[in-house]
Amino acid sequence: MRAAARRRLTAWALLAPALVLLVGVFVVPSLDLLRLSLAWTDPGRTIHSDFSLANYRNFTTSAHFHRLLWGSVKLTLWVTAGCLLLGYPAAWYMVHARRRVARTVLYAIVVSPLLISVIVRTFGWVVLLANNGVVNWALTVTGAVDKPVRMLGTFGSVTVASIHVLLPFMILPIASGLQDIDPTLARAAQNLGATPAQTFWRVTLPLSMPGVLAGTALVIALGLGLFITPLLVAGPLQPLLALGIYYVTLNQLDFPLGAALSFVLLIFALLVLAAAARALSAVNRSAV
Amino acid sequence: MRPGRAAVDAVGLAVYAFLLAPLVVVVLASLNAANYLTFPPRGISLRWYRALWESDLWAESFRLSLLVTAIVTPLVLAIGTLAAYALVRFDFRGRGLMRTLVMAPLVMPQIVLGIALLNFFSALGLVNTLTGLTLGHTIVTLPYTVRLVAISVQNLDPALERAAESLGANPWQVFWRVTLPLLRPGVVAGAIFAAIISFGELGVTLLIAGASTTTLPLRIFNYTEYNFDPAINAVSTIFVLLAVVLIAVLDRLIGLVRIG
Repeated sequence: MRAAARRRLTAWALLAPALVLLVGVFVVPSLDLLRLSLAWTDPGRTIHSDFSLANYRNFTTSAHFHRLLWGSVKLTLWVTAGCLLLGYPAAWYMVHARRRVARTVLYAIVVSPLLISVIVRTFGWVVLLANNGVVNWALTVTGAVDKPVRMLGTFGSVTVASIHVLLPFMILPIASGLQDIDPTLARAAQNLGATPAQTFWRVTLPLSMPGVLAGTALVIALGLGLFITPLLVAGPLQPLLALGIYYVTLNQLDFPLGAALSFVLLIFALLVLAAAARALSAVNRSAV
Repeated sequence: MRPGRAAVDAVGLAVYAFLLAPLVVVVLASLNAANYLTFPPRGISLRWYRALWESDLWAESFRLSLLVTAIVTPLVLAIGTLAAYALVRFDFRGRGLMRTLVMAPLVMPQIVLGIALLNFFSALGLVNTLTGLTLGHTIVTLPYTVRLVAISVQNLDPALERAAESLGANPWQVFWRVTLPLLRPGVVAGAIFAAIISFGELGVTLLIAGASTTTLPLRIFNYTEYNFDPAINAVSTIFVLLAVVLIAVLDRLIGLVRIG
């Protein structure tokens, strides 16, 4: 009993610095943002801190903000679909690479974006997609188009660049899921007469679902909050909630409204994560 | 080879080309002799690297970024190592909650974290200060550090610590002489991740930094957004090369496969 109490005390002592940091620089600022979102701003820009749902009402009744939210949802859906379609084969290819060197190089390519500032990666897309950029050059030289196509500033360019930024977060969990699958299971299925396609759909894919779900949830949550990439590739007026929050707070200086919009976005992200957690536990249960 | 397998391989390879494309393009563009962004390059030259070297503004940002990284890395490493050890090794009420809390800054939408810190720091007068940047980067890097150190803690055989204890070492000696040396791969990997993420951090920085705290990524952002400077390609190339070196180090330390 005494020993147990001492172990508990030791654990919390070790956690104390992290706890202080997290409470002071994460929990309290978040709660303060929540408080601010419940304040209201009068036309003279003065913030009144008495309780009010004015900002949330502003969000629910404004067609503009609905358009921003829809833009974010649409972008996130496209990005998630893109990451799944590209990420699964890429993870498969990486895990099943025959030579160790090849596997290491592929892992390096997937991990490298995590180590390179998002600004550098996004800037690369600006170089690729600009009117005098690489893609337009290739299109003109091959005669596919006669004059450069405007790509920067479009929804498509935001989607492609965002897929690039978030793809590692999809590939890594899927790869680690595929890695954990016992290879004898697939062989057993084939010995019992399953075709490779059947083996994949009935054995490998279901077993890799935890990784797929984890990656999907992460990509959706991160995708909703992405703002640097859209800002650089498409400018601040692209209809996205994250950019709307940025604009309302930094240009219009309406902090309470920006805070309320932040919470709308946060709630969306949390709902996605909660749904993914439920789906994940359902998958794990059915696997047992 | 079966057609299905060949199709998967083709898609797989295409994805890796896609992942590399913007990075390769930036490196190539940094060697472009022309005055503006153009493709194909008009001749090869290192003039943008020289321009970078001679520019006081870039040097100032470079120094600031290094300074922030140099403060954040040991700070988050100390906090994160202790936390990772406690979260893996000890079983106590509230452990699940603490795990979620430690990882929360990673999944918090970046814009929301940035706005929350901007609002909080403006009340404390910490916007556009070194202290503000340090605190912001510490919270952003903590989840990565804890995760990497935790990998090493999981692989640490508790019997080794018990052996040291039974040979008469006090808890302090056990930690410094046995635990920490055995955790070295994870701790070093955690340090590398913390350093590189702090060095390249922009999501939170964009909101809480200002004119007198223009870090390197923030300056790249400003120049891309407002007045284009071809030296951006040269700075970006430095980021890419740095990542290549660190990836090789990480692979030797704990193996890239386990980082995912």
